[in-house]
Amino acid sequence: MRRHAGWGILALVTVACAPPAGPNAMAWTVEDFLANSPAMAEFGGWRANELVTLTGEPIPFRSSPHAAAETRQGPGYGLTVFPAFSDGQPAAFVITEIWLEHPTPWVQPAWIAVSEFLPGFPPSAQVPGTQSVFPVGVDSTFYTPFWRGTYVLAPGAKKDTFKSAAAILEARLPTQEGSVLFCPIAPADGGAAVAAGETDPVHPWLLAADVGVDGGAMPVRQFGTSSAWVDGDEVAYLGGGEDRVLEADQLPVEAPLYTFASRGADGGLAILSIPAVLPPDPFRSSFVRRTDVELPASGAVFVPGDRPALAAALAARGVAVVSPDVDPSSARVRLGAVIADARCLAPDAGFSGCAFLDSASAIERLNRGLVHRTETTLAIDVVQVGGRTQR
Amino acid sequence: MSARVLGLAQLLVAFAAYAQGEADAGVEFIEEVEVVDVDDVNPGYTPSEEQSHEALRFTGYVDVGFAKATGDGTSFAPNDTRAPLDYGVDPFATAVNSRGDVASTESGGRFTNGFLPRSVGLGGNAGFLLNTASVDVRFQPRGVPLFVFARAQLMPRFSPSGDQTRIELQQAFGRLSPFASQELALFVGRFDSVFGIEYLENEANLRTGITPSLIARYTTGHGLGAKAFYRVQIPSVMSAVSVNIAATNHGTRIEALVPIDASLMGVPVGSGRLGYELNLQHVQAKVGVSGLYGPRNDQRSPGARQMAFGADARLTVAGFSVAGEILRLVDEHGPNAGKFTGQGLAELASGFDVWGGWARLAYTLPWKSAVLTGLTVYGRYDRRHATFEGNVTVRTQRFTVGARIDLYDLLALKAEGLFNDELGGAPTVDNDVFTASAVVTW
Repeated sequence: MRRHAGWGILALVTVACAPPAGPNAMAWTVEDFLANSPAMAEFGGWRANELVTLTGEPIPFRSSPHAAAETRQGPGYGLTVFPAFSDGQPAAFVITEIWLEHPTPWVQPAWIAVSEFLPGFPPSAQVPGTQSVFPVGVDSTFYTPFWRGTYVLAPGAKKDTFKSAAAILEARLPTQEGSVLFCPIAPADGGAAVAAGETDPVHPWLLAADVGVDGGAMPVRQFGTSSAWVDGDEVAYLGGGEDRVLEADQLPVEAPLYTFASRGADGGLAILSIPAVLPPDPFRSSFVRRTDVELPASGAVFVPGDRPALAAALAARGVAVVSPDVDPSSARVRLGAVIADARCLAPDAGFSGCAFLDSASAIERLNRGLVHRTETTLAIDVVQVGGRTQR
Repeated sequence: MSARVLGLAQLLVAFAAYAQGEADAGVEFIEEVEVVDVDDVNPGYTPSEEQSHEALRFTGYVDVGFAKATGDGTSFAPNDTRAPLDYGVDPFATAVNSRGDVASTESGGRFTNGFLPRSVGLGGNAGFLLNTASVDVRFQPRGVPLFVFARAQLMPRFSPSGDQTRIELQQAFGRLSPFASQELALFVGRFDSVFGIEYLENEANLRTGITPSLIARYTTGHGLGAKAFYRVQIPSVMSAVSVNIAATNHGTRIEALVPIDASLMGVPVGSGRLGYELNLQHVQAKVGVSGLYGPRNDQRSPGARQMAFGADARLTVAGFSVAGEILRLVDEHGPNAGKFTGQGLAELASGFDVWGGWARLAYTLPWKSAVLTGLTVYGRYDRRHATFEGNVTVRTQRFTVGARIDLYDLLALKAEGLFNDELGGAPTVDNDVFTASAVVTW
């Protein structure tokens, strides 16, 4: 018995002597969002079901509390189309990866077989039937959605000529580097959220006419899905396009994503479910850092009167809400926008004379005590800005 | 000159002055060359008490090499831009000396993540090397079962910042042998590994060949902690059974990969070997199994463990010796950002899984003379399959052939060829090595 007690004391001593562990470096992909959506696990400030919607589930920002009726996801999974502002214009983005307390993900090569090198970009079209080759998949500690397009001169290549990084490197073929590609590895049966009965993803509440474009709901860019090789296995990826991020020393250049937040009972900041603010040059800022912004003391969120559930939800978080009468189009454009100083509002004057926190420059002029850099970084695809989409 | 270099230089000057003083006083300071039979030193390369006639003695060796690696001296393909670069190849392939230092680890600015050996900076050039200048100090008071041993080593190397001499206090321990009638030894300090058998040949003057195997990086590191060795002889069956166990800060990996001088978790890593030996008149056979378990000591995260299992065998008969070892080692994913190594801080501690092994056949000519005291030819086969979490499995093999000539029992001349072969997962690169070594023991 005494012997057992001795081991117990030893165990206690060793546990007590153990230094405190540092924060864990976490990385989550679309696969993780999907696997954890039913359990609503939290990833860097967002719950999984706020990031992705499974078939038949209500789509965030198109359902309560943001809308009176529920809009449900159609076939396949749907990445949430988050409303945002960019330099004063309404915009939208989706989140494909989240890192917490994690080093900046590296830009890895993605090899693409081409038949010839041409001047300019792209150097040539991919050899028909071939697939890109990625050196790592989502299981790697060094997974990234950012790939340096590396064109390999292999005019005779077939689909399975090169199925791994080693095969490409061993072939020692001429290569030419291209731009950085944004291609998150993700299951093929999804993309940006598309409601049941609809064919394309749309901005949660904006109409095309609100930004001077013909049409009904404001469409946003949808991912194309393709397949690639990773160490002999085929994986699906979402084609986010070229030049979506600047690169320096094989690392993506980081930009701030301003997310409005309020303090909870524990004093911590929690993201408010209102439009975020994109960094300057949003189409080339796919690697962003969550940067929380507290509302100024006299600030308030604009919520039109026809969305009482959203107003109530924000009020319950201690956020001031204002609902001046404005025309419907302005109401959709400004829905969820933060007014820097709500004392600007005057009866029957709408927003005139008010300044919004709807651009990176406006937020950078705020008291720095209200802006909080977090340890969460994200890969995002900006799918619409003021009616424009990147190819 | 760094403070460390200066400090060791002062130490050596003090040693030399002491030796000179002893010589002046009529005492023969270096009385004999000590050749330690590898098979008799299971606790590590530690002189037996019988060999320590004086209370305080100084010994050592100097290992001078000449090496030429093909290619650029690394295993990195010039067109490889993967990150990290050291996950997709074996950077240890181009070993040039008994320390496992390689011809080069120069990545050309490409990102690596702390899975690198130390480099001699030769690149693909042929050149001379001062592999190691090693100084041993041992002290054994008469009539007391205590023994103190320290080994300091100097390794002059060329690096991108110029010439530098690294100094390592490779061993420093006290040993207590409490019972004269029992083969029991208790150690505290920094000492040899207890895993497998290759650590017995860590030092250039003891190693039959020149370079370590492809799995030596996991088993031959010097641990800081406590260990115990016990062997019981069974004369009726001409056998012996031994147990060698250790609790150390880091385990058994080499210092280039994992920090040794501090326990980052506050919990020691346990390792041990259970051995059996059969000692017949003309045949000697030894087998053993080894294990390792504990926290990986490259992070301050309690959840990440390292574990390993190994087996070894040796057979000596009629001048032939056959030896081999297999290993399976697993590192769990280190959840924190940052990874400490003996060479600095890396970025992330990936999960890791490796198995490998080696087998060596050597033949020593049966005749000797006063000048030629040994002539051995040998060949070794190495195999290693290693996977970093989510990355391709790198499969490599190596054929090593060489010869060793011993003169006067003082000087060992060795030459060796290493033929590395990428079997899969890694691009084929020019990374074969020719290396030679002259080791003078004093």
